Amino acid sequence: MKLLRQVMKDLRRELAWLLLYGVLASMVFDTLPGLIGSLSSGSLRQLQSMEEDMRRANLSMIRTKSIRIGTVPDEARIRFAELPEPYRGRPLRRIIEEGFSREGRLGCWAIEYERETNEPKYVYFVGKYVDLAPIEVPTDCDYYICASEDDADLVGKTVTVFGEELPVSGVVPGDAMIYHPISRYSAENLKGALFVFIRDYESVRRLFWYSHITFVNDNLIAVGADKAELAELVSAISRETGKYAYVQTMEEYLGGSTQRMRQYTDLLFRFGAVFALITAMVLNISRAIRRWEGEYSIHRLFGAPEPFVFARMLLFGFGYNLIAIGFIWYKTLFPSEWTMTYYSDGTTAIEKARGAISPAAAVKTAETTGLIAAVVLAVCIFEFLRFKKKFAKGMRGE
Amino acid sequence: MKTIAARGLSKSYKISKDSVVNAVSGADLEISEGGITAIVGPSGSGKSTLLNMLGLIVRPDSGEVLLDGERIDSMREGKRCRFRNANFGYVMQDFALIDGESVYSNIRLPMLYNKKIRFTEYRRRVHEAAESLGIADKLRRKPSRLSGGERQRVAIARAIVCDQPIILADEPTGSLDAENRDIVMDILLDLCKNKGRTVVIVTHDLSLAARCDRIIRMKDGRIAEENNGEE
Repeated sequence: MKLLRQVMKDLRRELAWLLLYGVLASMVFDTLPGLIGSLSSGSLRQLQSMEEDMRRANLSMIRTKSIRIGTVPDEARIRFAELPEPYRGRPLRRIIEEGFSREGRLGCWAIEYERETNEPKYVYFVGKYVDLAPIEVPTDCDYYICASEDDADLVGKTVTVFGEELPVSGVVPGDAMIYHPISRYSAENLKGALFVFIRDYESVRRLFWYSHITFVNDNLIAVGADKAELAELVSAISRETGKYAYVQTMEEYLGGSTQRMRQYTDLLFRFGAVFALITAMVLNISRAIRRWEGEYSIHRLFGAPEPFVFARMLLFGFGYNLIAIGFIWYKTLFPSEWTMTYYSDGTTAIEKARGAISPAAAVKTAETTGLIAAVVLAVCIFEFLRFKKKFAKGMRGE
Repeated sequence: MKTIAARGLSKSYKISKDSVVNAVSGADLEISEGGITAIVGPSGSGKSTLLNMLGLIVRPDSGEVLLDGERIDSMREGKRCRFRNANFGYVMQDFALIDGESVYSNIRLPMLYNKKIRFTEYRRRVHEAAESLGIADKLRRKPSRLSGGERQRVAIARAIVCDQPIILADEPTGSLDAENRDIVMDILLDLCKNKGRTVVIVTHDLSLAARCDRIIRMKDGRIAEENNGEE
């Protein structure tokens, strides 16, 4: 009781700073798990292995750019000149049809978002991209639906995908990475979404009807395609969609200095951010403890035992982070979702609704809490040993 | 009877990789109950280190500290804390008061760690100590709103509130003007003469030391001379 009273008094005397730190630390702790997750050796290894898989699979990306009237990009001039048969070949529909058949070489992926909430609703892996998915998909089925780890209870049930009732057959693990060379997602960020794997073109057409050509053109890739096939494809896209299309191989993409620089910069930024956040936290706790060092000395002098002083420092350190820890747990245990409702009179209402608790998020929050506790404990041990050494030299340190 | 004694006390500090300072070397002394002893000497002569070792704040490298013939410097940390709390009252040059707390809370502080004093006694003891030092009307104030002399009286009240028999004062008048210096010294003499406490003072001020029963002069970490105040 005496200890708690003293800790409360310490915290009360730092109240203004405590509140400011609490707000800033809440924001920091909220972003920390994501930053640390992206820097974990597992995550980096996974990224490297996926890049290697795609390089081995001889993957080419078919990139498109809109061309404004009267302009032709410089790179287009060069690339068009390289193409063997620039403006001849089969119609796009035909190429897509064959390319997305089971024997074809094309694939794509896309994320479809819920219109009202802007939350990911479906993640599609189509054609050859199914083989690059983070899970094993049976080769004999046209559709294979998986739920995210948080919705594992959906397995065995049926869900509606574009008006069709389809069974959920598996789960995509939370630590899986959904990878396309130019954009990657952690499966955990796509929680609540359904993962739809489609191997053949007929199924794509059945699901997307008239919009299927537009659909497959996004994030289009070719696996093991030769130059002539790629040339035919890009010329058909340019001809029929009015967009400038070009091919970028995985070798070109990863070998490009800009891309390599982007990856390094990204990594450096994340390392820097984690380092800066943890350093700021350590320095602030350390500063706060040192501020009361004189008082701890007086208590020690008049009989406060060492474990008592250490406990006081430790509880003060934890108390300092209580607002931020409380905030992240509140967000985990009482998640909320924003919804938008469009009314016929043209008005839109934005409402906040209570969401479901995610076990994966709870684990992550527990991990973050553990990390904070470890940092606080380490700082307190360091500060206590420093204090003990100083006190043992006498009150004037002569 | 509370006689505090030191036998061959030594303490050295490492100040850099190859440099060691012998703060106190082989100090022998005995301070009997009810006397007031001054330890004097130039800066760096080891006065405060000796006082800190006598008061169980600093552990000596060698030698012993004895209280009524019983060795007290080798106690384990927990027992040492309890012992320090029950037997020693400390008075510092910079008062060592907690500015954020009231005078009452400052005086009460040692009792928080004394298991023999009941919670219900706190108020009575604080008032008695404050009254004896003429600061009973200032119990609600913060130390920062008191004069230097009043602050030092608060520190003395804290040093006697648990009936500690030995008061160790490190330059207790160092931050005070002449008038307050005399007042504080009178209080310490009174505690010694009329209330039977043993007082040990570290000071630079020879006129202050002259009022003490006994003077111990230190030089280069050694006790150079001992004599009575009048001498």
